[in-house]
Amino acid sequence: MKLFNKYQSRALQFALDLLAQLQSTALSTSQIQALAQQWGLDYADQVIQPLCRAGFLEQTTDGYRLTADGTLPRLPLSAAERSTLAALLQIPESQLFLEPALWEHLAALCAGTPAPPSVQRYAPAGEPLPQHPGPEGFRTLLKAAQRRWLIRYTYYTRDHQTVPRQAEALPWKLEYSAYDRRWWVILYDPGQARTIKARLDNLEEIRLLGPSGVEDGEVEAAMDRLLEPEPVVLEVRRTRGTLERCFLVLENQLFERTRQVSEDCFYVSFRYYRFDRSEILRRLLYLGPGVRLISPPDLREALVALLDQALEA
Amino acid sequence: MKLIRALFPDSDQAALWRDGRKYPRFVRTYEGSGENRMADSYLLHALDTETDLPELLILLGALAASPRTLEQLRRSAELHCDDEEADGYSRVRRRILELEQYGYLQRQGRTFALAHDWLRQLENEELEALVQFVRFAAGTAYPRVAASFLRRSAEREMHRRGLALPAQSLLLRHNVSACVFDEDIVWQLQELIAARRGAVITMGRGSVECLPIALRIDMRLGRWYVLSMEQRGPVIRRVSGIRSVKQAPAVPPEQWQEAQQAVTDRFARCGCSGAMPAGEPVLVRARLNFSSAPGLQNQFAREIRLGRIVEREDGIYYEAEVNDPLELLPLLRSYAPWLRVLPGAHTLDQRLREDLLLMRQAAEGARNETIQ
Repeated sequence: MKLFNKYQSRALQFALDLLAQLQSTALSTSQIQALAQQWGLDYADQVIQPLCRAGFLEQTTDGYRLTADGTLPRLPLSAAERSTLAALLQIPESQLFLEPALWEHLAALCAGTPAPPSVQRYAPAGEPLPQHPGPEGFRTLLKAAQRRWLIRYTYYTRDHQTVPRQAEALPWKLEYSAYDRRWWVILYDPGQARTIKARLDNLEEIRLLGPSGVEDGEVEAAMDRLLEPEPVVLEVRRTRGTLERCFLVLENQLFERTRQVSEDCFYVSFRYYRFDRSEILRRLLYLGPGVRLISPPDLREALVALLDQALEA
Repeated sequence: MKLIRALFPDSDQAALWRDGRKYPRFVRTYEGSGENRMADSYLLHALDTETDLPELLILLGALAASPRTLEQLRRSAELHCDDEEADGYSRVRRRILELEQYGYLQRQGRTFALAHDWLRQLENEELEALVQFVRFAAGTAYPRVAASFLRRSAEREMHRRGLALPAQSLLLRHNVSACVFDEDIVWQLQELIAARRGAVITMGRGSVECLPIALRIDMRLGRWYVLSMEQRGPVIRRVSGIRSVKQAPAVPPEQWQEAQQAVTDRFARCGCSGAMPAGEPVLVRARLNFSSAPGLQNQFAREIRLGRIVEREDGIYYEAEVNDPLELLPLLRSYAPWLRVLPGAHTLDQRLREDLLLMRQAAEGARNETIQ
C-alpha cells in the first residue's frame, strides 16, 4: 500500500471538503474558488463541473448548493489513518491534549487496530511531560489561546523559585520543541505591550478571565520587537551535506537569503529572536568548521569566547 | 510547481533564478511554524477529474447509503457513465477492491460497506480536542504524513458539522519535515516488517535483496534509515536513497528472529552510522564542568542520544559506548566549552581539538575581513 495515492489527491480532497462544507452552509463562487486554492487547485471549475454533471451539485444565482437527492459520498478513515491514531495515542503528549474519557474512548475505538511496527527513534533523552500546570492547566491554556482570552496564573522564576507570583496575560501560543520535548508558553501582556516566553513548567493555577480584545497583529508586532536588528550571515562550505545540515539544524530560524558565491561556497542569512541567541551559538558549534559565522560582530565575538573557553578546557 | 505556487503563494515572488532554472522559495514564519505544509506535497497525486473523480464519488455515495454488492455498485456507476464500450464491471470491481485494500471499505460476504467511521462518534468538543492533538502530532511525531491525512479527515468532519476550525495555537520548533517524501517508502517497508517479508529494494546504483528488520528516524535531521539483514550481514541504509520497494516472500520465524538479533546487536550502539572503525564498540568519556553555565547541564542531559551522565567522587562524566565515536562529535563539539573529552581507544579528543582550532581561525579571519 502506498501513502502517495489518489485518495489523498487534491481533486478528491477538495471535492470531499466542498461537499462537507455545503452540508452546513451555502458557498459563493468566490468562496469555493478560495477553497480550491487552499487545496492547490488553480480553478475550482475542474472539479465543480464534473460534480454538477454527476448530480451532486447545482448552480444557484451566486454559488453552488447540494442537490436534494441521494446520499452524499464520504471517505471514512483509511487503515493507515486508523493505525496512526492507535500509535499516536501512545505518545505521552496525548495525555496533555485529550481528556482521560476521550483518550479511553479513542483507545476503545482503536482496539484491535494493528499499530504500525514501532519506529526506533534516534532521539535525545528529552524532557518528561511538564508536571505543571498539569493536563488540565495545559488544556486551559490551549483554550485561552484559541479564544484569545486573558488568564490569571501563578508563576515561578529562576530567582524566585520558592515564592510564587501572580500575573494576568494572554497566552498567545504554546511552543514545543520536537527535538528535546520542551514546552513554553508565549504570553502577551497587553498593559506593557510585550511578550514573555515562559517555561510551561513554571506556570500553575491557571484561570480563564475573559476576552482579551487583543488582535494577532498586536502580538506579532511585539514579537517583531524581539528580533535582533542584524541578521546572522553564515558562510557554508559544500562539503558532506553541510548546507543541508545547516538548514536542518537551524530549522527554526527565519531564513532570508541563500546566495552561492563560488562553486563550493554559499552565504546563508537568517533573522533570529533575542531569546535564541545562546542556542544559535551551540548550533554553530554543532555544525563545525564547515560553517563560518560572518556577522553580526557581537555574536561572532561571543562565538570566539566560547571557542577560547573550549580550547582551554 | 503549480501546487507549490498555489500552496505557498509567496514562493513565486521570492523565487530565485539560477542557470536557467527557477527555485521557488517560501518563507518560514515563527507564527506559522505549527503548520506542516510539506506533507501537503502528497496532494500532488493525479486524479482524472472527468472520469475517475465522479465515478469514485458515486460509488462512495452509494456505499454511504447502504452496503452494496459489486453488481449494485456497477449499476449505480453505469447511470453516470457515458462510455458504453467500457467494461464497467471490471472497472468498478477494481476500484472497490482497491478501496478495500486501503481500508476504506469492509467486505461482508458478497457486499461491501464503508468502514466504521470513528470520527462521527465523537462529540463536538471531543472532535475539536482531537483536531488539536492531531495537528500537534502531524508536526512532531514520525511518521507524520499519515497523521496529516488524519488531520484532514478530522478537520473535514468539523466542516461537515458546520463547526469553525480551532485557531492554530501551537508553535513547533525543530519539527524537521525535509524527508516527508521518504515516508511513502517508509510505509511500504513498515508493512513488510510487520509481515516479516523480504524485500527487493532498488536504489540509484542497482537493486539488493534484503530482510528489513526495523526503521530508525534521526530526530535531529528528520532522516529515515532502514536496518536490514543482507547477504553481507546487517546493514543500515538511508531511505532517501531508495527508489522503490518490491516485496519478496515471507521468511520462517526462526530466520527472522536470528536476523533481528544480529541487526539489534550490530546497531544497538549507534545512531545512523554503519561504521565501526575499531571492530567493536569503544568507550568515550568526557569530564563535564558546567560551573560557568548553570542550568546548561540539564540541557546537555536532554540532548544526549547515546550514553549517559555519571556522577563520581572526582566529578561528573559523560560516558558512552559506541560503534563509531565520530557520531558523538557534533554533540560534544556543541558543548565543548563545558567538557573535556578524555583520551581512549579513539581519536575523538584530537579531532574535536582540530575542529575547534579551525573554527577559531575561521572566526578570526571573519573578524579581520570586517576590520579591513
